[in-house]
Amino acid sequence: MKISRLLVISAFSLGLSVSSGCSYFKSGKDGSGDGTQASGLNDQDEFGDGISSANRLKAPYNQAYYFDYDNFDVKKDDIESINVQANYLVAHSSAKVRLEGNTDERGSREYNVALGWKRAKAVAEVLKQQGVNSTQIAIVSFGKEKPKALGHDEASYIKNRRVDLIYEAK
Amino acid sequence: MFKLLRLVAISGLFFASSAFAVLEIELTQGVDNAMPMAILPFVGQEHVDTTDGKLTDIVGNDLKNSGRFKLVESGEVSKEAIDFAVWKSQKVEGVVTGQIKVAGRDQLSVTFRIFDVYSQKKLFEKEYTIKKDRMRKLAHHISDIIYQQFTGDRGIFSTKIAYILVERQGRAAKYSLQVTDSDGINAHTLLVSKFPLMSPSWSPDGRNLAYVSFEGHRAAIYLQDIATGNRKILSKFPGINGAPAWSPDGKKMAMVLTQTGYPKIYVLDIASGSLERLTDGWYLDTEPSWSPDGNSLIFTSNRGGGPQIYRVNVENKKVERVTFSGSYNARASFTPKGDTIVMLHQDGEMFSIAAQDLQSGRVTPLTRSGLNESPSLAPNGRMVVYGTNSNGRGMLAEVSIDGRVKLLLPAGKGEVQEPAWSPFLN
Repeated sequence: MKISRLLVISAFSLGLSVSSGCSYFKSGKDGSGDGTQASGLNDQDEFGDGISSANRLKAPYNQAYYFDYDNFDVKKDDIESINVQANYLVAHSSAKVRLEGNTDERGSREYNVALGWKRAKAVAEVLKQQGVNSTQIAIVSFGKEKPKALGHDEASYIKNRRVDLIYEAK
Repeated sequence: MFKLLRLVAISGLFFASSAFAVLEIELTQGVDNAMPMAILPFVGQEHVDTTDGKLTDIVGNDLKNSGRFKLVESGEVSKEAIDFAVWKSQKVEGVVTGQIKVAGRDQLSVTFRIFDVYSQKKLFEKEYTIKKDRMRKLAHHISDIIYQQFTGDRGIFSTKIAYILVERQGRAAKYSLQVTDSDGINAHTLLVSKFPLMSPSWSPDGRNLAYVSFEGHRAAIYLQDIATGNRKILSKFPGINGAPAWSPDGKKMAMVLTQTGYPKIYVLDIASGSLERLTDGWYLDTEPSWSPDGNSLIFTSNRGGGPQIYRVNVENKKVERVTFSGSYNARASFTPKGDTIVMLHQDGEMFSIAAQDLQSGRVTPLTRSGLNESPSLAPNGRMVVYGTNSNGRGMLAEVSIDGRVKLLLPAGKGEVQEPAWSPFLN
């Protein structure tokens, strides 16, 4: 049995939330626009480097470290670039980084936050082993909430299993 | 110092008059033996001018979308008494009649009656005087009464569902926390942010929502008053502040923090601010959910390898494993009776919603399509709302606890995820 029924679509199609929804992506960069709410994601393409290109071996530069499926080990190839950032952080004690853990879309949301945390923590441990003070590192895990690639395939998943290292102070 | 928050909490009252449907509702599977019902047009309802449509249409949609009733059309209109023999010959089991009168400037007087054809009795009759703009609410209330009279279960037509709406445009994303009536009508936006919003959780009195917001690139748990839109920070420790779950008495919040360096289950006393950690170790513990008696919590943990459901006693902190079937079980919650849990369950490549009987341990998959997640039980324990993915688009769906009734709630725009069914609100 299949009953299909469309309920009321629009009684008040000009509700404020609708108009604010339209203006959202156009509002000013500082979000001050009409005072209703936030602007769009202002992040520039912080990394510029696709999945294939290596992280820069210069500091201070934001970095992206990729992880294998169901894996939380920092890749050998990334250790050198993490160490370059670590050396900079050790030499500049007022510099601060944020490590953002991310996962692909499979599985439960909060469990993915925990998994993203585990990845970010793995990068943090490498930094700390190099002598970086833990007060210079903030960890946030977005789990699967902030995907870089929006596809539902392995090509997207590879890009989303990732820790971003972002300088909050240099 | 953080940048100024690019975000505002929006008062529910602010949008009190908006009544558009963000979610449509589509019954995809009802029970085979759905009960035949006749909802007769109420006398005088054609003279009532409201934007909500006809009261009997709202009631009819409610009952039909419950999957447990089928509507029988008839040319009859409402009368004081009905001819049971005629209805019996048409195999109709229940008949609803009524009338609506305009009573004063903004007021309506609504009378309705429920008849049981087989016992040939009037089961219920009541007159209500309401403001005109409360007609939709009264219609859901009438649906609740009819549902309870014929099924024995409390109706959920007056409840609400909170969820997260995500709209993407290129690399930009807009996250909104919204609350809608359980039929998808009357969506209110409580919060808009460019940062992810997660894990809405209702207070047991239905007045507040707790949720996770990542504003300023940091996770924090907020409490927001649904009526006023006022909100406050409940938890903003370094690291994870996640998976808030209100205790049944409304006094405590279970949550996930990383104070030990690992995600662990904590319980915060909301009034005093005192914090207690319930789990320890190097594993990932998350997604706490209270037992109805408040004496224990179930949670997701990878302490046995992959994610499985465990139960921790709030008093002695003893942990026992609950799920053994399947390689991945997560985001579990109890039915109101506490004898069953519903959860995200992986079976092969598929993420489905499943129920596990706690006595026998038997797991029953309720859904069978690909990427399901975030199950949330209706307060009567009969329906589960969950997030699903249809043609690459996130939307909500519902399934009955016996798997027999299925509904889809596609969104008008964007992706809808993380539904949380409200408690009973009246």
